[in-house]
Amino acid sequence: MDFSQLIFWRILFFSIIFMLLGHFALKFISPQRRHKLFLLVISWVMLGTISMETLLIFFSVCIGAYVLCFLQTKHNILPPRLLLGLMIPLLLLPLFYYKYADFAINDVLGQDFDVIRNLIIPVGISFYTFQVIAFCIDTLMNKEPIPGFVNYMLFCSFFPQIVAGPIERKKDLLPQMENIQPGFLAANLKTGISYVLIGIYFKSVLADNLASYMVTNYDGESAVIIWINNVLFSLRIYFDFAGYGLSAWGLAKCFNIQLSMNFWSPYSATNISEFWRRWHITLTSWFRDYIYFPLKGSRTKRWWLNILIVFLISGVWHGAGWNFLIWGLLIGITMVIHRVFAKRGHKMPAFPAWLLTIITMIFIWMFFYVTNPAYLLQHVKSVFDLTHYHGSFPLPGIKTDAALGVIIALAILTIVLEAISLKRHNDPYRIFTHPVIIVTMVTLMFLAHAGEAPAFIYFAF
Amino acid sequence: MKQLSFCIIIGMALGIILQQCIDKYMDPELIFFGKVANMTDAWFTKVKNNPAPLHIIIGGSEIATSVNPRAMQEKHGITVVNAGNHAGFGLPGNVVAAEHHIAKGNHVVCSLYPAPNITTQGLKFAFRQKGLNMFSTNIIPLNTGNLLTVLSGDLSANVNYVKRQRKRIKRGRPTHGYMNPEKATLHNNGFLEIHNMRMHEMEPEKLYHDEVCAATSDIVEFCKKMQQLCHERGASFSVMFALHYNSLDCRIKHAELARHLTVNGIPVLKDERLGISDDLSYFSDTPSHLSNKGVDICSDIWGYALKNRIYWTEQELTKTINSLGETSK
Repeated sequence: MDFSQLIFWRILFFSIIFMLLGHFALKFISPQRRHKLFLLVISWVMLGTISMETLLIFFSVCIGAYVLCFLQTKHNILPPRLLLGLMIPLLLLPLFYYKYADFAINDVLGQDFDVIRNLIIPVGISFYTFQVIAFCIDTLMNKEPIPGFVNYMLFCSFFPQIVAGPIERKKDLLPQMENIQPGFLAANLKTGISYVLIGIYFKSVLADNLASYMVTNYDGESAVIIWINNVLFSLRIYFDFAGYGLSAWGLAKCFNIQLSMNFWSPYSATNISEFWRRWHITLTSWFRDYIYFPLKGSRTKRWWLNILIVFLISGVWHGAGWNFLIWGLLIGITMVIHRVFAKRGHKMPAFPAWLLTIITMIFIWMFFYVTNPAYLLQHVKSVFDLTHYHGSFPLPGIKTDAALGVIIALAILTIVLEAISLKRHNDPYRIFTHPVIIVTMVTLMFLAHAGEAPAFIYFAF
Repeated sequence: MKQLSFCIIIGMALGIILQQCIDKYMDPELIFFGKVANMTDAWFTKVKNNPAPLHIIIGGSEIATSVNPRAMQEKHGITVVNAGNHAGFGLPGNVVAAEHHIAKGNHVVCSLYPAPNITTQGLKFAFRQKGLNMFSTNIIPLNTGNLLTVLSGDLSANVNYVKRQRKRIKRGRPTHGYMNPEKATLHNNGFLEIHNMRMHEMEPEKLYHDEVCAATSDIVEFCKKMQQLCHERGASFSVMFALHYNSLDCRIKHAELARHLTVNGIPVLKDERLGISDDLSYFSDTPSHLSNKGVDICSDIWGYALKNRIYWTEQELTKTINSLGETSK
């Protein structure tokens, strides 16, 4: 479900044709029900085109959760907490097997099981598993009624958000699914298409071009190259993931569904806590509601430990590897430091605070993309060793041509526009719906697309 | 909705028109260079994480049309990047185009061939070519230092260059026939297979000329600089002669150059032919572009040499020079 690939739009186009034809053929079903059925079929077809294995794993997680919740609400089979204690590990089992078994068993425990090496992680498994778990907790703990099966499945499998979020909550998405407005509305189409274009511009023009300049598998010898790579990755991951989120938001809007915004111009944040409130918002709030708050959040003396736990888990969620653990830990530590300073009433002026936040994040992203532990160690050594800040231009192994300057300038301009839009309209992306900017973005899509593009980064999670 | 559709259509139209303008006013040869560079870069990205060392072969069209990385991988199990250029830029220009491949652990091989154009003229030409296309993302990379060189270069030379380019663009076809798609096939690893076998119909003697790669201080100096650059970047460096059509007598000059380089500490990969062949069936459209038969032979020679890294020694070369001298007498 790669919005930047033509194949996705081809499948969607034919699905909509099929949907319109179906509206005439299935007139005996109410328009709303027809709309729901078509959305379900499109979602499953989209998931099935990735692989049948992906679809089957998805069904097993979603249907398994529904059956258990259904039995509990109808027959009260076990105390809710006990049932959740049994259910959650069960729901996490496919995720653990595909994503963590190799790391946990072979790397951490030092075993040698070839069957679990290099397993292909089913697309979207981390996202829908967390969405389903949140659904189960909300339903069972709050003793809420179980929704109808079609509505529930639509909540789980709505195609714009299934593979890379946003991780939606029952209270936000399910009522919309239940009362979905059939057909297409002009106002929603206008907003939706505009956001899809913004998302594709983020991905194809910015993220993919930035990616083409990154030195992959770099051993970390030159600190200059490391910093260039860090900057490129920091920009790339934002435009990649935000690009997906904006396209998903826009596409959902076209089908009259309002998804949550996953990003809120994080690079204009002036402190690290604010940054994480604006980055992957639905995941951060998931961790806040289902891990941080149950640990008593900041209402305990161990608040710092709670923060560290949350971000360690966040690191693990992102991937199985030591680098992700360190990445999570570093974010946790910076959050704690910021909280301590804030509690003591210290406040930096806006610009230095923003600069410090940006530099901190540019450094921390290094732990996200360097997955080889030996290389990561060398990266850290080089960054803190002045003797590694050598090298005259041209730098070995990295392309530093004028086009890179243009792309970086475009990326920075985009972030500045976000900040302006946030101040003016209280929405960082609204400015991009201005006709002149739409024309510019579409023109750039033709002129500066990166050719054969890598998939969205978060598809790997 | 109408406004949005209008904006999208205008944006698309503008994008298409601008792209067409860029394509129309872009030097057809540059489009070709860009295509080759993209193919080479894509191949490099594909193979660079292989555990075996990477052999980067830098040169001009004599390399681009003679080294088939896939054949070398299949036959010798080595990973090769054909970073051959197609512009007559000369050795320094060829290095500029391929320098982003010179990285730690790689084995860089520079091809030596007749008229290597060591002077900076070729280099300036290369810079200018790239400078004029600096805003396209699909070009041979131009780094900041080189861009400054272009901008600080003399204005009249740049203007003259643009005038020449205008004529070429008006004609709409690259100067060299092999740059036209119907006359050659560009493989997805940067190797260019030439279909024109003009050389087969030529009279051998008429093709002989004295132009060989002679032992000059320029070449030694250039090779030393290259060796230093590779050393700084953690790569190893050596040179080798590309296969060229000439009378076998010319091999003695190559042997002298090889000895000169060896004495100066530049390793020269061993090839008994010393880059000279008088078999016309090995060549396609020029005395340095190979036919399929020549490519097979050349890929085999280079593959063996790169895999085993056998270098000429001073004694061997002296012996070879003596025996070639005897033969020519």
